[in-house]
Amino acid sequence: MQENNILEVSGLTTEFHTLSGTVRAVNNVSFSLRKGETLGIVGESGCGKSVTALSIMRLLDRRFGHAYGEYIRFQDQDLLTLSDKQIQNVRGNEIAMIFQEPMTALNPVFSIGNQIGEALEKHLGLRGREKKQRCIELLRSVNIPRPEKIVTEYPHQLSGGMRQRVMIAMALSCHPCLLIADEPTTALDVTIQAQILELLQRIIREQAMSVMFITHDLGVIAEMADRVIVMYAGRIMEVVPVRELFAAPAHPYTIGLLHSRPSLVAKGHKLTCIPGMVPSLLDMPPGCPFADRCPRAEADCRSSLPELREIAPGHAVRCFHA
Amino acid sequence: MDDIILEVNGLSKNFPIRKGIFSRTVGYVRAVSDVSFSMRRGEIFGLVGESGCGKSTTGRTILNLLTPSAGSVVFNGHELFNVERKRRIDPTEMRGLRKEMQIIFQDPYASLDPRMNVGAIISEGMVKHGMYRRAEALERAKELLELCEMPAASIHKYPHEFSGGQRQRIGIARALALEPSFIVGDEPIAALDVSVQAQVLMLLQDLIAKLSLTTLFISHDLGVVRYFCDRIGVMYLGSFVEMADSEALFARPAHPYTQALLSSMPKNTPDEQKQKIILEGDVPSPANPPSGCRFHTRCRCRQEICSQQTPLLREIEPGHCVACHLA
Repeated sequence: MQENNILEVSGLTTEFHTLSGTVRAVNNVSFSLRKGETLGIVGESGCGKSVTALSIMRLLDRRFGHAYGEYIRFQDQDLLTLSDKQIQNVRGNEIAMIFQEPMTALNPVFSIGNQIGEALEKHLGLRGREKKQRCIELLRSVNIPRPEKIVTEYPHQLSGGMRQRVMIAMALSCHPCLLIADEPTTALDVTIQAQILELLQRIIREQAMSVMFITHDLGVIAEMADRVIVMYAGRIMEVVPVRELFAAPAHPYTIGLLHSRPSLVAKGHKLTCIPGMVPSLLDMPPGCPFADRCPRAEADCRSSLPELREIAPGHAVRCFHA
Repeated sequence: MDDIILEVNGLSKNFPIRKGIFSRTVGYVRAVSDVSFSMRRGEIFGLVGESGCGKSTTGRTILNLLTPSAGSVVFNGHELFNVERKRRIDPTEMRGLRKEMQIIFQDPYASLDPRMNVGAIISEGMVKHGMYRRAEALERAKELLELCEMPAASIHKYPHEFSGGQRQRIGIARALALEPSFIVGDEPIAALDVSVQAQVLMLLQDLIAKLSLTTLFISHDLGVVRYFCDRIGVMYLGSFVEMADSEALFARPAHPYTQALLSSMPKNTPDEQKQKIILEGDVPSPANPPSGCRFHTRCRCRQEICSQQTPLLREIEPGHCVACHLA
């Protein structure tokens, strides 16, 4: 493991067993996350970005799917080989996760204090008044008004933005060194999204955290990420520093995504869009998964899968013709 | 003026809050209050605002799908209702007008009946309104599907066989089946992926031009509205705070809420310099809205007058109206 990396994933593949067959939701994905870096993972629904996160956290239900690969190195451990007990010590403690839908991620029958306190008790051994005090501090640190009151309230009494703040407080409770944020602002309105993004930026800066930030929104990527992975149909299509993503995108899919944003097109000009749709994971074409929708596709794209190759320092693309 | 197709005047909609075993009404959620605007034929008018600001309720009340609490709507010379004068359009006449005004819903999963095939979904309205016989209606359904860039053979399939984008195309075909002159698009692309959003948006744009439709486009996505609409009304807690041509609104937003809303949009590129106005707190409950200007609790420019008097929408430049004492 390289010294300045906090996470290295190699050859991660995640399969789900469905009635219609085995689906490969994440296909041979390798990447690394540097210390203190915010790595954005962007793609559309079903591209495997959330499943990648769940696989790293080992949160997949074994009855339906399993993840395998060479290794997932985090600090000095290989997360793939840890026992359930060992991974529980990592989860919520050293790696924390923020989910998309705070209403479903929080338990409706426990109070806010109870839910934040659970991790404090388990990982830090805090009890009683000390635990409650720490909960209140955490809530205050994510700008929740009246934290002494909120600690005793239940998730349904809070608004969406407040619930997401509670989720963030929970994630921060044990000072994790790696934070995985899975579409943390997708369910929120723009003004609340702006509040939450600002809060996350402040926390990431203050605690020098490494972050994996999953989103479908390129605008959020522009705000948050240092480096970006673009995923499509379970594979990494492009790895690129954030400035270069917007200035010189190389993969036709990335270019298509960037051009599909109406906020960048002047009124009266035509939007461009990517024709067609994502191939079914059950019926993947042998070549490049994007070939059928790609304006640059040629015969070689349909017969064999391009390798991820470096075209500039730190900029890799899975395309023959980029 | 005769090119005005829709006139909305003082429209309000309250939903009663009921409690107890006798369902006593203990209060009202003021979802929409005193909304007035008009639309020219062929215009695309955007209603934007955050969740709960009353934009969908406005759309549905205009279509007479919800019973209004106050105000009037005149569509194409027909008065649909006028609550103050206790007038409501006669149901048979309304049925005739339904053909003229159609809606595209947000959720393409919930708005198509899973037990009907696509042919039946699209042709149901045409048969009911006596426009075509069943067999002809199915032929017409095929044409409509092709118009919406779907294979004609889809009429034999069921909604679950399609992706979100395809279902939304079916929803659009259904809305167009009755050859309406006015459509309400209630967040028609909100549930779709970015690349599919662009596809459906382009399709809508083509169809609106081809069929010269007047469109009320409801959306929370400012980028989409800026690109798509001619004129925009910004709503906050049930009322308009600002209304202007799309370019004027984005170039010179006058209401503090609009300014905050526009500045909250994520940056387009990492290098864009953007001064964000971060609003404090959440939207107050519409069951108990603040006095005076409804935005004053979160406004960075508030003064004493703001909590006492409700500002009226007034014109600050031609076609640009703002409801703010200070603008």
